[in-house]
Amino acid sequence: MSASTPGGDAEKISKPVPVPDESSREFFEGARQGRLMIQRCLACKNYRFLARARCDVCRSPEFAWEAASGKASIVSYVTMHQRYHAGFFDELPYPLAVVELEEGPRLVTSLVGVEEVTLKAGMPMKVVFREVDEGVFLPKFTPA
Amino acid sequence: MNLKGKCAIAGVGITAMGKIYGRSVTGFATEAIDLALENAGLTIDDLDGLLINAGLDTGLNLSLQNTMGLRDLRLLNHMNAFGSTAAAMVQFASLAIEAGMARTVACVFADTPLKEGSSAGAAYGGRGIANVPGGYASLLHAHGYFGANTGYAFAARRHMELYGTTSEQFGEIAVSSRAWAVMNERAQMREPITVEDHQNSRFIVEPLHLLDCCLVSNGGVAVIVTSAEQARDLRQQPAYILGMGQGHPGDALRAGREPMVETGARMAGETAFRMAGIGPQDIQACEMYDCYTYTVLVTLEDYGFCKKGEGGAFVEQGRLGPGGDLPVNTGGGQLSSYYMWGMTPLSEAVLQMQGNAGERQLPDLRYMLVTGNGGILSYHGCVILGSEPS
Ligand SMILES: [Zn+2]
Repeated sequence: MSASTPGGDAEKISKPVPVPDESSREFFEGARQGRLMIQRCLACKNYRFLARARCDVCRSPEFAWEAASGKASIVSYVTMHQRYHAGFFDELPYPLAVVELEEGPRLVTSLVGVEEVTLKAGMPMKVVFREVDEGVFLPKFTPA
Repeated sequence: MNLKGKCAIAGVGITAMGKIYGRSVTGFATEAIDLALENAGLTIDDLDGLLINAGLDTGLNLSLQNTMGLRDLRLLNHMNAFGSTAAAMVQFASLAIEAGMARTVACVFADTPLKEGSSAGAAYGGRGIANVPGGYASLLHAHGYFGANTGYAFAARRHMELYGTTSEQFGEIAVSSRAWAVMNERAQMREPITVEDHQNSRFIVEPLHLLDCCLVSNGGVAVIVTSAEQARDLRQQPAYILGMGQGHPGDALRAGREPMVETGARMAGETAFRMAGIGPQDIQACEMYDCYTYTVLVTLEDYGFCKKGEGGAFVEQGRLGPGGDLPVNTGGGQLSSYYMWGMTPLSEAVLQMQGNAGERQLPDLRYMLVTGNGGILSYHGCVILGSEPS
């Protein structure tokens, strides 16, 4: 078989790359600079993620972007076994988690450095950034 | 306006289900409505309302009116709140009928997600992977999060972590559903299973095994909603609508909430039980949306059949199965019979209330609860059915 066989091993399918849009530009720009950016309501100081046009506590439209501390803890975790996207086939089975930031909001994340770790709800984690495409960085979490 | 007992489901139609290929989604929808009308003892000329819920196949839409040759409808809509839509359609139909806007309304769901030569998993899990959206939505795929399985696996794990719930307890739900499906000639999966079979089935997204996940089906289901007055004179024992409610908690990742283990079912239940003037202790059987075993467990808790966190112990020892204290998903549910979104639980409930459930018929049914759930425990709707209008 030649290396150019369609569908052969030579054609490594890459993972989906996140595409910033208007409401997430600050988030991805922050990630590029190693900062985990979330929104904070200027009226009631509540933090939120994902980005929202209004605060879901006090309804204020006024907000600012702030860098989160990057400290978090595990809320839930799973191990992906099903073959969904060819870019991930090599890594199956792999873990994912929902973490709760120190500031309150929760987010879905892939994990780094957990091969020898038994995951548990409440486990302290911290953010790390990984370049997934030229100039595109993804915040991930690793045991603190 | 008190709606208790003012309307009823007078008929149900269920087409062939499962790996049925070569038929259009409008063909399934039309047949389901025809079957429901026949079941009720009505004809298509009696219909003045049509509510449509399409699944993945976008071929089902408002043009169904013309496909079926329906003229001058007083009520028409294409509704979608995912798995809670079936309950929502019955609710909307009831409100419209009681308000004098329509008299006899068909509510229909049909879908053809299964394609010949393609896996069931590809039908739902693979959806949308090719055209990744931008912004935050693209983050999920970048991390390797795909499909509803992942969201429900997170929710199930959260329950396990908080309350010590076990995978074997999820398995009890799968086993009970299958035991019911054995008695349902329409069910796609009729081989009895054990908790051991559940444990040995492959992981999809751990902690969810294959046998924690629902089927995928081609087919269609319709029900006919009309006034209690009219329903009384028709062919079947009416399934009177005594209570109904919805609950949609919103943003699952919001700070300070536990949406993985506390769902909109609680809010929906409060509204529906208040309307019906009864409580969970009065419900003899439930038809619950069971996209996953865990969905049943958390829904039972949120309706108050047991305390929060005690769902695992509650479902043990076959409590939900044939001969158990609280029959749940008596046709096999989405786990073992067929997956028609919220029409799976609704259709089985109507068959039971009519006394048309054959070998699996429950005796002396007074009250049943029917639930629908959509998104990742995001949208919830319910209907309480009764054998009498009061
Ligand atoms: Zn605020």
